[in-house]
Amino acid sequence: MAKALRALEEMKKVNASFPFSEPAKKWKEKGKKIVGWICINVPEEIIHAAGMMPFRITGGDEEITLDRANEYLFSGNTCSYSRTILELQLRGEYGFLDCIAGATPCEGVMRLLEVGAHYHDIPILPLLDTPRKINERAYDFYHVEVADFKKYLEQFFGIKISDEAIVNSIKIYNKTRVSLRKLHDMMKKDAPPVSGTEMMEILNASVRMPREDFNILLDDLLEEIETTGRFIPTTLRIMISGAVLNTTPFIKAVEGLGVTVVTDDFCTGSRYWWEQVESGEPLKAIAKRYLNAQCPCPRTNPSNLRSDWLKKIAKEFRLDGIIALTMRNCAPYIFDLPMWKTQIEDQGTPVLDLDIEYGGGFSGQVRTRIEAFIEMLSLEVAT
Amino acid sequence: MKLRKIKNFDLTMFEQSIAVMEQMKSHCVARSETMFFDMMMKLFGDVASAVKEGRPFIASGMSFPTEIYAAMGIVGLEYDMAGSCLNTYLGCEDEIWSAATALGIRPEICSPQRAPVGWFAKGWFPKPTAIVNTSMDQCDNMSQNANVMAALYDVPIFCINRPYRWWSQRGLDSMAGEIKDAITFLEEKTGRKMDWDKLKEAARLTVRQMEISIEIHKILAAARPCPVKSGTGFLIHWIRMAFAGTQGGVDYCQAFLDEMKELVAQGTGYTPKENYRLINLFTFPVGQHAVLDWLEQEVGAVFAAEPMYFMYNESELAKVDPSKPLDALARFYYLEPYQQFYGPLAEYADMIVNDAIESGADGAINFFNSKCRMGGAVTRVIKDQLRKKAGIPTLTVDVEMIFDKSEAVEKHLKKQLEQFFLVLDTAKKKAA
Repeated sequence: MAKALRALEEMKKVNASFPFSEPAKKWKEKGKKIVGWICINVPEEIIHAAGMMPFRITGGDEEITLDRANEYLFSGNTCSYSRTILELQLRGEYGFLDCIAGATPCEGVMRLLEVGAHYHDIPILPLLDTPRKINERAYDFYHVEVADFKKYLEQFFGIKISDEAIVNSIKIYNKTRVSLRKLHDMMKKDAPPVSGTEMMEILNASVRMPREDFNILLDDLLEEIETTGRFIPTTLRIMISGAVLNTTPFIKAVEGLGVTVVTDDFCTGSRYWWEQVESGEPLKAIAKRYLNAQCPCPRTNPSNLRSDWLKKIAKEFRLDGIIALTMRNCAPYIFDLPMWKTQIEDQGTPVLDLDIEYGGGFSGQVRTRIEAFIEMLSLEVAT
Repeated sequence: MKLRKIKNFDLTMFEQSIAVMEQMKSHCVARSETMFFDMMMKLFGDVASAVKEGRPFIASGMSFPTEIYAAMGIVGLEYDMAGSCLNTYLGCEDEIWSAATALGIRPEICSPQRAPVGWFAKGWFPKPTAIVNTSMDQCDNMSQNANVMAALYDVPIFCINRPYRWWSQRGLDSMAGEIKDAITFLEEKTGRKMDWDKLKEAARLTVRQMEISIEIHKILAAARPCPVKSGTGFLIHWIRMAFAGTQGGVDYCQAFLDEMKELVAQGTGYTPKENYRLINLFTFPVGQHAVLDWLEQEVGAVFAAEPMYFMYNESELAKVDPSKPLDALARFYYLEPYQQFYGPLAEYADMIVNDAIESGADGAINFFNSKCRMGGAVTRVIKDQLRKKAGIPTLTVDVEMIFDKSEAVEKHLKKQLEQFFLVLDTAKKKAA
């Protein structure tokens, strides 16, 4: 049994009240604004520099019924992530947000934001036009998008965001990234300091509380890990891959089968924090960072950016297997998976291709297939 | 199944489709339909010849500016519509779906983007020199399926990224830059040089095609009875995409227009009695053309508006300068009404509402493809907007767009449509 970590328990408390977390409530009580964001192409630093709290809009830890969302977003082919978000918005659970900032990474998110604007009353800022292709033109293009986003935010709230504030916010957010990388690198150890479930708790908390407070907690966590020498006994090392997943019970159930999720391939996971904002003209640097070229989203062209990254990670983390979760109707991931699955398998890492719904539980069939996969991996390791 | 490079290529099925088209041509009613098959047979034949003779052949995704082919003297074929039609013509759906599914391309992926993956996986699609696709911002399928196809055939690929926001100078500049890069890519891969004078001429011819289409739209909205045979809107749409920037494309559009004008002059249409004027919001399921005939011949329901095929923006077209071909091609990209479907919802909704009003439609039918996420997600909004702004009801029909030819589906479709016509009858009585 791994030792309890105080900072981690604090982070779990943040996630306990969903979606309106305790830190968010306290923030609002001070009369401050909260801007909800959807998609990791939305630059949090700009919101933070405006003196507001960026708050990631996600589903919670449980799969919910989507009756209201299904009325407005066709259930037959709109991904359950988009419908879950709309359902929560229609139920008023995100009513504490002052506005929503979003991007256009995929059809699901784009239509969620466009359709939602007709049926709920949370204002939506003009969407950031997110290129699907990574090249110099895309960086230049997104630079203007980020600059426009700053203007929209200023206009909407009647404020001015200073360059100094942006530079300061970059420092604060980069600090998070450095610390998360440090923690993530520790996952390469034979016995990593935290489980995949705990890693997701940490990441969920990071986007539901003021960033300065989170950074303190994260520093505390790293210190506790060092002083306690905490470790998770590990036999099989797994990556869970997919478009988006933030349900800790799912990861916990996977790990309950005797594996450790040492890394991930989610926009709620590594993709969220992987890259630093480099030095240089702040908005330009932010734009470049937020196209995520190093750890790209499945929508990204050219596709080898992702396959190269995944192959590298599989080696670095000495993965025994990858569980690839395809959320139904997530076309980018469906087309992306064949582009790297064979390459990874040829490299010696088996991949389990599994269909799930966003927020979905560890149902019988899912459990059976993962169990069988892990059993197969165990045999391979044993031989 | 793992994604492995295809080593054996077989053109038999592709070439068989030409014979099937010849046979289909014999059933055509409208002159323009006959012309469509003649042009497509020629195109498919040219593709087969180019591959056999080792000349450059480019496979491209929907909305790639094919004026480039005309100006570079390259044979090109759009694979999404081609793959779908090959399935329809040859009845080989099961094999194609199985091949795509084995690669992990799930059934929830839209048929037109799944079909070419299956064709490539079988090795039945002619091997191109390279593939060029577009992001269509947004159609996830269109921007992604080409990666799998290029990997299967081990051919180079280039993707044009289209911005979300249209009509801004920045959006146009970005598109023009992407198109220029695509030309450079094609020059490298084919060894052919761009003839910029020919590209200017191609741009001029596309302008002409669009001007004719605007004229078609005006007549279609005003004429009673409707002078367009149901289902042929899809044909002119495909011709414009495959033959953009060619005299052949202009000739087809002109023939389509002339045919309409003749019927208008005669005061006749294709339906014996026009009872219902409908606005069609998406491509009719091509496996169910018997229902189209039933609508036209027995029910007296016509498509008086098909905005995605005909609703070009006249004032924006006037801004196109063919002497600046890259800018012109970028503008074409945004002008094509079908592509509005994949852009911002507000503009798409406005286009539909305006066309409903202009055409005096009694009702709207949204044959949205049940696998199209762009269409599916907005069915409710569009329905609400049409009721609020155009005062008409919408029937949303959730169908498999391409391949479901079953009688059960035909019966189900007819039943839904019959019930919708009762709604329209009631509305008409109330109005009277």
